[in-house]
Amino acid sequence: MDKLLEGLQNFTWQQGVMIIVGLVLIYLAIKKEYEPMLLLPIGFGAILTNIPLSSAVGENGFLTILYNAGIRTELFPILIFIAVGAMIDFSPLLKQPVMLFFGAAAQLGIFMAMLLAASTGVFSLKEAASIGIIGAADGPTSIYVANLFAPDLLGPISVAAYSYMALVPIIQPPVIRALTTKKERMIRMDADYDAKVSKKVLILFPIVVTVVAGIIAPISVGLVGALMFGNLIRESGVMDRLSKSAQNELANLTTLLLGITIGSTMVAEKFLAPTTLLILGIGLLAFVFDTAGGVLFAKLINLFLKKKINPMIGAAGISAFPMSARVVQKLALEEDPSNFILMQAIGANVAGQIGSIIAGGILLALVG
Amino acid sequence: MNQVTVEALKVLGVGMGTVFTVLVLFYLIVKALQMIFPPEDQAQN
Repeated sequence: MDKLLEGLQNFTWQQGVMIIVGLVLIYLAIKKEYEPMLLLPIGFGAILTNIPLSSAVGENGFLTILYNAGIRTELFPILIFIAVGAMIDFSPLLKQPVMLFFGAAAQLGIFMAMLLAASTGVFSLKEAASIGIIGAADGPTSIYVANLFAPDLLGPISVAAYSYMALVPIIQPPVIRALTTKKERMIRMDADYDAKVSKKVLILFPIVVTVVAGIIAPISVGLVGALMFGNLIRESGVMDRLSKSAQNELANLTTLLLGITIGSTMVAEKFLAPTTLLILGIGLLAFVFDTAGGVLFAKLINLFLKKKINPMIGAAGISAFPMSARVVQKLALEEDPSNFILMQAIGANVAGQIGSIIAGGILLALVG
Repeated sequence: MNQVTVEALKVLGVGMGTVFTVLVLFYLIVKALQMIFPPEDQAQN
């Protein structure tokens, strides 16, 4: 009889709160469809791990085994990168390589958030860098860096990263509107996207990027190399079956396991701390700074250009693909129903995916 | 200003500078690749 009551006797209010947090995440995933593929497993993982005396965690618990095998070793983020690489089509970027600059400018949020976290006096530099990487708007990069620099903060960092990615359509528009005039938002851009890109360029691009990024920051080879390997499989044209497997089976299975394992890091004693609120707050500001960095950079280069760029394109330089490009196109259509800047925004968005991974690698090199 | 903030400020400057440098390098590489390997239909003309 005592055995049956053991769970109830060991139940704490903190675990109750975390189970509610898990339920909220599941609600957001199902009802609001915010990143359901991640928030649902994360929410359920949080419930599993906070049930008193849960057999899912602990030495032989399957979540602990998954954590040790997939997160501690960085295997899950790397597999996700291969899958993402196989999904990315770099041609919108290669048709308009100038968009790479927006992919750089919109990484400002990473470094500003790190500075903010450091200035609180609560976090070490490595912890601050892990919080800053929320601004990469790229879940696997956040997990990769946080796991190396601040494994104790992995739970709140990954929840913040994925939640804010889902909230890009809510976070970005007010920042863009605040930093641009109606006239600027109505700027039309030439359609360059009918230009063609040679197959050889599409194949050589992932190889060259890996080698160059690897030589500059060898620690980034894991991140960049996996992404570009996935892309090479896609572009080679001779591995169609494997490319499709990477885009579907590998992506789905790894996402599933990654989500539930991340959820298992949301242990009440670690998660219910004032630092979690601080991380969530700074993470939100990271996205605001990312958007501002991209928009302000576009406005800056417009000072030197005869044919102006729509500064909203700068906001699409974050890694949240394709949400950010869609947000920019929607705002453009609100001001002028015949203004189509989606392909330019997609180019900047793809550049953001490269920029975030490079910024992650550089952060690892500078702070590690 | 605490020591961690000073370090973070340095990382901000060097980090953003390096991100830009690397992406400028990628820009030049893409431009060079496009010059060496123009689109197939253009190469035929």
